[in-house]
Amino acid sequence: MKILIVEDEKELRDTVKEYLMREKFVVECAEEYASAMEKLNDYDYDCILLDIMLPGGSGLSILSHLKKQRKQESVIIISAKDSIEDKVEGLNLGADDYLAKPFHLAELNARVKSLLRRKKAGGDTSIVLGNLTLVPDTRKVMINGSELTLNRKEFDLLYYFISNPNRLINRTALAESVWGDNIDQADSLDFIYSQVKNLRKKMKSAGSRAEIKSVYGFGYKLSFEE
Amino acid sequence: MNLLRYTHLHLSILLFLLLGGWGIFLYYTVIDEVMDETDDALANYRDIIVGKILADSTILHTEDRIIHSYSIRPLTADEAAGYKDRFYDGTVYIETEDEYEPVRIMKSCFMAGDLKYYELELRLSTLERDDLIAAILKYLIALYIVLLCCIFVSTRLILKSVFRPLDRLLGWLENVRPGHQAPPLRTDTPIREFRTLNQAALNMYGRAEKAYREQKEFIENASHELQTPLAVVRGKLELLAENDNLNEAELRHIDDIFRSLNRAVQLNKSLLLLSRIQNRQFTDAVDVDMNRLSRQILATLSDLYEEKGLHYEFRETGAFILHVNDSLAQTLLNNLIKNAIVHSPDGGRVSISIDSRHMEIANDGERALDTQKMFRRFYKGDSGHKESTGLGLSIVHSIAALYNIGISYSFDGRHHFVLKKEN
Repeated sequence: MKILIVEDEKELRDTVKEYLMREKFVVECAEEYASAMEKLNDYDYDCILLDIMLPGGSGLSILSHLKKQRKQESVIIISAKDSIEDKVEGLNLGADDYLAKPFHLAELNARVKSLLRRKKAGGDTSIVLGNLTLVPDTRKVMINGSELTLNRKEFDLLYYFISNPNRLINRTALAESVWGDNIDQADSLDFIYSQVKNLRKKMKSAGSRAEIKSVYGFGYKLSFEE
Repeated sequence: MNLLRYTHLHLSILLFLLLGGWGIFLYYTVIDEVMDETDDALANYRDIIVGKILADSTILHTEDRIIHSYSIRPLTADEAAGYKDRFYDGTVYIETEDEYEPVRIMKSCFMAGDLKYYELELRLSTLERDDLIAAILKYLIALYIVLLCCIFVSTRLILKSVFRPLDRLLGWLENVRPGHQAPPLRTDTPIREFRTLNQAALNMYGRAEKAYREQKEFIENASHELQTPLAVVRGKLELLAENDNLNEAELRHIDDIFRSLNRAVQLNKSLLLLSRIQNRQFTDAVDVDMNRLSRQILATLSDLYEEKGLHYEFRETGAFILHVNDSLAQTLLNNLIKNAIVHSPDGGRVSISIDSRHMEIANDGERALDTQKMFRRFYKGDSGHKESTGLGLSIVHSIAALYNIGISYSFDGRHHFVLKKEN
């Protein structure tokens, strides 16, 4: 899988690149409008992470250029603007997703994978991890072929974990993704603990080979050995 | 009262009085002239009669009662000494018609050929004169009314056409909003002042638009400038945390940084949201079912209140529908409900009650908030919640103000926030 990051901020570009490379993606970067256009004309990518405000031009015009060329790349806009209008404009121009800065890398990773699954599998978007299968569209989880009943938050948690297997995930990232913005202003994030505990118990009793491990004082990790 | 009617009314009143005054003056001048004419005729007549009497004293003892009647009466020397000619109106009885006719009477003194004084009384019928006066009065009044009507109608038409550019300008001003395409303004008017006014309005709009755009750009740039380094720090931390050589204490430090960073992120987001609300950058108002939204938010926050062992009550007696921006409605309720949960003591009670015009969110608390300061930015009360940005209530207040939703607070051992649908 080949990903192009179009982002003018070097530090952010490198950070995202490193995180995605740990996921075994092939990652290339462009730092401004012209080089992004050049790369897009010369090569094909599976997914493009596109910043809007770029030196030399707008990311949105890159997007409309791509759509005119009928290129198949999935596009995720990563922008500092997070107003609804900006999102709507980006999505109307044909972007597949929109992520406002500052995002959690785990969240970005989950979105990238979700898009790639949607594109490659020809409609089958289910994620398989050993004996565990998660179908995002129907919100169903199967372990060894039998369905695992989860509540909404347990499902969202598992979806987030399974998109970032074997990666350490901070509690705040989980809270923001599952409970929404602002939730982390709560005094303690202990409420995450009980949901994760329930989820872990259910997975264990169903015989899942993947296991959620607590990393004390920091967060969790879904560990899975092939 | 609009400008047109005001000007028109004042002009009309003024013209009504002026024309009325002028009419009355004209009337009396004409009457005076006519009277003078009669009196002159009488004086002429007297001269003729006196002349005839001096030539033929027998006339002294005659009278004429047919057309111009006269009579002569001798005067004593005493009467004659202080005599003054007089004119006055009177009537005479006409036997044939058995009625009184108006006459103008002149009494004059003269010395006849016998050196005695006589008083000559001359009477001139004023029937025609009165007819004339009546006719003058009639036409004058008719003219007055017609003139007034003409002036009334024509000033109205003229004023209306004079004020048309002003009406257009006002209509335009009402429709102009910074950040929105201004409707075209027709500036072709022959009146210089209105042209200047139109130009001034266009210039003003241009400046407002520019300021609005610059502020918007500033907000966006500030956002961009801050969000990017925040994203870098967050990303680097995530990468750093994955380092397998970290011990528990180091991970804990990273977690602390994570949470502080999150606070900075939230602060930045909240400040931007506040600016955007106050710049009225949220359009697209729709009817939002606040009952449904509250239930959704409560479901999302269920872990929060379960964790704190809170009891909650949810009472609905009507549908509370607000015409607002969807995401702002969500922010509004989310902030209020989350505040109620976060600031309740463990095991406390949170209640939400909704009817068709009100929505109350109440929770247990120890002491009242400072109503003077509670909606200000960075007000944190004395709760000591370190994760609070102090912007939540300020955002709530701004959203309520934006949509003219009433918001009130009271304390009676519990905090009560009431949203009220105005109008």
